[in-house]
Amino acid sequence: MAWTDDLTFAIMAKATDLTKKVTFLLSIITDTMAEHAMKLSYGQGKTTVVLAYRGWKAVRERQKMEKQMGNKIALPTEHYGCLEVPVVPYYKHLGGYILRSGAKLLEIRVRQALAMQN
Amino acid sequence: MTDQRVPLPKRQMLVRSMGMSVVLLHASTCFDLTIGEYKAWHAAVVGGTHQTLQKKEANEANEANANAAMEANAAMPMELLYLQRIRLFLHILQKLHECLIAGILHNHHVARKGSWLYGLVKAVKRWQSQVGRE
Repeated sequence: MAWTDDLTFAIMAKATDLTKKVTFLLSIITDTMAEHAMKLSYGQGKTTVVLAYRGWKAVRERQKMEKQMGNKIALPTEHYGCLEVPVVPYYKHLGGYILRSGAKLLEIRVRQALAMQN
Repeated sequence: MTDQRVPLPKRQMLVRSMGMSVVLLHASTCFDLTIGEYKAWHAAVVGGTHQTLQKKEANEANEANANAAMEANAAMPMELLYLQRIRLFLHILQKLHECLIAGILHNHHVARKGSWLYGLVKAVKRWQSQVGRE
């Protein structure tokens, strides 16, 4: 899903394959962008990954990501070497908050607070 | 908004344009809300209605909220959410984008009662019960 310079990719896989597939996708995106003279900046509030583990071995995979990998994905790229991409519980896309759990509570509360500010 | 001299129609316009427009952004994409989410949504919408009427909103019964909504010419929280869903559905029907429709159907296949489509069916049924099938 793209809107001017805001770009989102959705990917679905088994919990055990999710990290691998996301890493593969990110490598392709980073290198393709590099070939068009664009460098993505990775970090909180920049380019991030939201992982929602579900189903078989989901808990084990989530714990592995949190404890062993420190909520970061090591990303091998052709043009920039190895990069680190943070894994975040939510991110903001076109003014809306998307949580890995799919909950809308944060979004509703933020909207209410913004409306009260006005 | 706190100025008593501002007439009701102007306050309605201010709340709709500056308050409710912010609350309603992306509201049409909400899936079926949980109880906690609904309470937050209810507070946001009722807050807007009460601001229009310059009323305090603490511990008011549903009937009082309904009367306030009628007085402020505003919708009740659930009706507003349903209307937003139907509005988005009409946009989707106008575009008929294959990927979008496939995504909606897939979401319904996976999430069932937690899906957006399930929420839309509830909204349409509610609409039918209010205005009839025609």
